[in-house]
Amino acid sequence: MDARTEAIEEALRLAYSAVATTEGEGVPEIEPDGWRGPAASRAAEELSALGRELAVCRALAADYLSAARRAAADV
Amino acid sequence: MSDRLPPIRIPALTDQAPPGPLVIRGGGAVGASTDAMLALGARLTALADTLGDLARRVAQAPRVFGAGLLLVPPDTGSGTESALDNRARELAGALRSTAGAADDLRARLRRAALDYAEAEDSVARLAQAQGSMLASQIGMLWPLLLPAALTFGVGTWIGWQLAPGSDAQKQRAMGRFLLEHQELVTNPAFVALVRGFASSVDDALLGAAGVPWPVAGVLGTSGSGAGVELGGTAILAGGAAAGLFQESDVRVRRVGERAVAAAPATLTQRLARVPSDSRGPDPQVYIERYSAPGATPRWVVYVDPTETFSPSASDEPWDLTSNVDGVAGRAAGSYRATEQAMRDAGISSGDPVQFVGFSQGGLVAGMLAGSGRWNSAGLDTFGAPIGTIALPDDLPGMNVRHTDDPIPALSGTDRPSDRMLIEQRAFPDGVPAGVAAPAHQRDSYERTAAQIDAAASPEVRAQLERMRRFTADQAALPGATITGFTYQATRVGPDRPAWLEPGAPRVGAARTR
Repeated sequence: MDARTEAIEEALRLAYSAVATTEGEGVPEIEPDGWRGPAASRAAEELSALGRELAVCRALAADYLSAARRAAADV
Repeated sequence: MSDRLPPIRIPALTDQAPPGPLVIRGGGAVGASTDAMLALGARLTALADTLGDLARRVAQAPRVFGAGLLLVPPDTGSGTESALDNRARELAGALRSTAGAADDLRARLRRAALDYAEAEDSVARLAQAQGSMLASQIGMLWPLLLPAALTFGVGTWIGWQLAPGSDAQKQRAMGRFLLEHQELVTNPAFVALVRGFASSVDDALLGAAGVPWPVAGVLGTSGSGAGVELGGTAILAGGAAAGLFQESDVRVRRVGERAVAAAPATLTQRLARVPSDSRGPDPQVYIERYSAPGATPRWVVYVDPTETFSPSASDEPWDLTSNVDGVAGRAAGSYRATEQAMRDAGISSGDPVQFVGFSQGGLVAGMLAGSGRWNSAGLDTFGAPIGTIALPDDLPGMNVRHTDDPIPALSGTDRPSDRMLIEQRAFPDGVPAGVAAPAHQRDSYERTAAQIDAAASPEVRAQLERMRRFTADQAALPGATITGFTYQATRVGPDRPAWLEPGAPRVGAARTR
């Protein structure tokens, strides 16, 4: 197997791993234990922002997988 | 008019509004955090690690068409391969950024926990200093304040005499008023007052001796327990003159022995093993032995809460005398009785022992764990005034107390410690009427214990697991057996009236918990 094929296969493995990881990673939530007030609200907002970033990662991981599949098909 | 008043309905505490968050200090937790904050911090750490690791792997993957590697010459590379490399770069960048955001949020949570603890400590220090100064001034000015106090006392007496109704009716009305307004004593402000007062008795005494406050403040003993011990000793000395708070010898009798099916798996189950009315003839100590062939036995000692709050000693060692003696750092009757029970059960000084206690039982458990006389392997206390007891470093277990329960505050300002302290306001949204000191009631602590058992933070889970494994590991050994011993203790002594000896009718032993 040449270096190019190896690289594509490695990309494919990584892409699958990236999809599985980003899909498996939910955004942490604040447990309803009574933690209230401005600090809790701010943390909730920041968690929402983190969730949006994670969603971008998820989408990019899916793109990466699609690209890896196309490259593998070309080999 | 009849003396009889309508019965007071005692509501179940579990019917009440939910308690406040669990606030955790020590035991590996940074600053003062809620369980949710700690759990969130752990999740963010894991998320940042996972995403960061993935970002590194994607970034370090060999490029098919990437600059530098050029596995495929640019003039022959396909569009799909170029797209693959670009996607890898984009993904690695996004993962790095998200990992950084998660880590940043975790760091801010940690900072918030530290700030919260610092703010709380600052308020406590300020309150302590103010209390110390006030106590010192009251001590210095007591000759001037005495007439005012006498005037207040006389006014109160006249008001009592002028109020309509018989003495019995007025006493009942007063009792009922206090029961229906437990919010007066079931709130963090009152608890802070109690803590400040308990810590400032030495300042008042120094003030009464003519030592000015700045000097008294320097001599102050806040957090060491010496001030509380001095106060307790003063109460004992004053009480002795009136025939109150008289210590005695104690006698312990084994009243039960049985095989136990399983070790406790949760904090709730450990609290449930602390003796109560339902466990036979008024036992105060329950001991479990975990034996296995070839293994050193392990033990768990469960200690009863206060049985009577009468300042006049009866035959009950779990009384107010033991409370005051214990807070004063002396070998209270309940402490000595528990040690007698431990020796009778066969616990040697080298055997590892866990201690569990509620209220006065927690005080006794803490004193035993910190005594250096036993091989302490763990300590769980509930609503116990043990904030000034020096305990072995990294002792497994936790102190659980309600911020609206005044009893734990009787030990004054806490000694700095890395031990896990879990606090919760039992009744943040309204105090139940008709229950004395509801935040100190056993079912209130049972509710908190259940919440702690359900905690999500790794720090709390680690302490629970350390306590659980002590017994579970031993019980899992081949041939292991668990035996439970139940003990009943009584006060005895040559100077005690015959009617207080065992077998005589009990007096003043009203159940108060």
